[in-house]
Amino acid sequence: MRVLVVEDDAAVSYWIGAKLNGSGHACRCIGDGEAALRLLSQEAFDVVVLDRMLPTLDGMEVLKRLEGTRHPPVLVLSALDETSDRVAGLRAGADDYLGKPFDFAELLVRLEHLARRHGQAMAAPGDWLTVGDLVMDVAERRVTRRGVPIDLTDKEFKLLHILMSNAGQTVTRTMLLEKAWGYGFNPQTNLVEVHVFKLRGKIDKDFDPPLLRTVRAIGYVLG
Amino acid sequence: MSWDKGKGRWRAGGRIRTLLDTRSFRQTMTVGAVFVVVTAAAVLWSRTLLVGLVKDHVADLLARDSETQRQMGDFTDAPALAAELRRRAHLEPETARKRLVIDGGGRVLYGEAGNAARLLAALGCGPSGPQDCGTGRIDGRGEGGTVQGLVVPLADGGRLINAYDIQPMLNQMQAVPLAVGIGVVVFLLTSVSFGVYFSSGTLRRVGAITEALASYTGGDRSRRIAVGPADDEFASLGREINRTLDRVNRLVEEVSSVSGSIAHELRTPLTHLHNRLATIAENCADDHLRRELEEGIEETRRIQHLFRAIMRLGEIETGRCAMTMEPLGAAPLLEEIRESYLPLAEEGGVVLTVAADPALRIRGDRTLLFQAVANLVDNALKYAGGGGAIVLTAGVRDGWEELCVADRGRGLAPGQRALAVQRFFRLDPSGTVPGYGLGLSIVRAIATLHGGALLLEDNGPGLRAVIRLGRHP
Repeated sequence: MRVLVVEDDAAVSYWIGAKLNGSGHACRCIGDGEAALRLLSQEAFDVVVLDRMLPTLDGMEVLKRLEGTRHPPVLVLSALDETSDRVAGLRAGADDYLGKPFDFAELLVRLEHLARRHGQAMAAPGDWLTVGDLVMDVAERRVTRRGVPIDLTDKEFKLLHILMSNAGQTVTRTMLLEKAWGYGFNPQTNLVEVHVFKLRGKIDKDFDPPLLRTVRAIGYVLG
Repeated sequence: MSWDKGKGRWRAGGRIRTLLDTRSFRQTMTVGAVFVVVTAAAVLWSRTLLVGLVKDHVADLLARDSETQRQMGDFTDAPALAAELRRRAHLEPETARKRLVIDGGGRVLYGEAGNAARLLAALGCGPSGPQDCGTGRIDGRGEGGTVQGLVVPLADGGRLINAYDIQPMLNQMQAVPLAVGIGVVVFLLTSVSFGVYFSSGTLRRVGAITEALASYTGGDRSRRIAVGPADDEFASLGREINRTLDRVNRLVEEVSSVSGSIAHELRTPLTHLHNRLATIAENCADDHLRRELEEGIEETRRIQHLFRAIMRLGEIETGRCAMTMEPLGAAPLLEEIRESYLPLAEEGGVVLTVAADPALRIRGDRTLLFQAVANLVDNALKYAGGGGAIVLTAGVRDGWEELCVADRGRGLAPGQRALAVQRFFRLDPSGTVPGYGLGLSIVRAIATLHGGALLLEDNGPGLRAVIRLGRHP
């Protein structure tokens, strides 16, 4: 994965760079918006990490300039983390938004998702999802494992749909919360964990091998 | 017209009532009423004066007339006087003046016999003759009108009755109060019209200002009052309000940018701390130390969480959050919340149910209301759990749309209710119950943003937390 990191805080930038390189990804770090736009027009990247508060040209302006051009997906990484900031960022064309401080694992998972979605581009998700012997009929809202129907609540279905759409990839708890409940919802309790626990009971308890794995302190992966 | 806060527009129902309640209308009407009373008193008084004047004048006339006749020797005896009057009749045609000469036996010697009876009756003389009338000035009213006369005794026992029919004069005077009355009615109608015109103008301008301010408080920060071309007190009030709103906006922006900067300044070192701990933990061979480090990482996460909650509260309290007010089904909203919290409720052995009319639609921002009710359910599970029951209801009470979370726990003492909505208030100060003490503050801010309030009521036993929204249409 070729990642362009646009971040003026040298310490954060260095840390992300080192971690990405350490995980086997190619990373270019740059400190201002103008230079980032120049670099994007010259080199190919799979995904961009964009800070909002930048010298010369801020993150939102960079997004505005990118609008309508062919460009890799952009994840905005910012200390501006109010719901309105997130909504503004996503409306301006960001593909994902992550508030600071952040876990590197969370960032990496999100970047991988973006890069993969970008790579697949138009590969339509289709009406059927299959992970091992777990089958989901999206249109009919039916789930079976080894032919045995599994009764799920709306939320469990939604969570499973997210996990199955990203089979084999880690999905963080925050991502599940954002996708199943929406941005702007901030539960005071571990809602996601509780629902995933219930979901696991339904899809894995009576079957072997278990499909839903917990990635410690990060999230979950299916398959 | 009256301002309907729930709907955010003027209601036409109480239009006339509101118009009558305006100050300018009441002022106009008070001045009008005082004017009418004073005019009516003046008219009555002047009429009395005029009638008195006319009567005095006629009495004077009659007295002078009688004196002239007396000096001319007319009063010697009745037949001679009658003859003399007949001789002069062509010189003084009898119109308003009525004269009668009656001899001692009561026979009418001069004057129309037909008229005589009426005149005598009008003057109040009895049927037996003018003797009953006495002498001097007499006034009377009868079918012939109002007459005023003087009875003069003659030397031979007869009498001369000299009278004037003053009715035509009085009739002419009737026109005075009539004319004044018409004038007053015209004046009254004019002043009512002016009152209505100026009052509805006032109402319109005040309405525009009220509407603009309501829209501003509702979150439309760009809303200003249309000042209009007229340079009157409303225009200067509007300009002053607009200046105030500009200033409020500047302050809000300043506060927002300051809090943004604080967030940035604090989050950056927090990010560094988090990253360092994560790097050390990764490379740490000592299991015990690594667990400690992971605790530290978890702590930074909690700080971040708290930070987000504070920022969110600020965002909602200042109305800076993205908000979409729309009609939405109350029952599906509560059902989704129930579904979200059902696993947690089951874990705690709590029965979580929804009781809401499936047809009820309320106005609000879905995300914010979801957050608010979720916080209340969260609190109910934390403080009233342990085999209890929590009921989520939606309804209309006293015209207000309400969402309510009722539990059967230990509830809140009346003294605690006001404290409970304060920031960082914890019902359980020991810290064993997770949370930051911001949940209810956020609920209250959301209710306020919807034009309502958060009410904490006794559920006997337990707590009924009611999110009051706007007025139900």
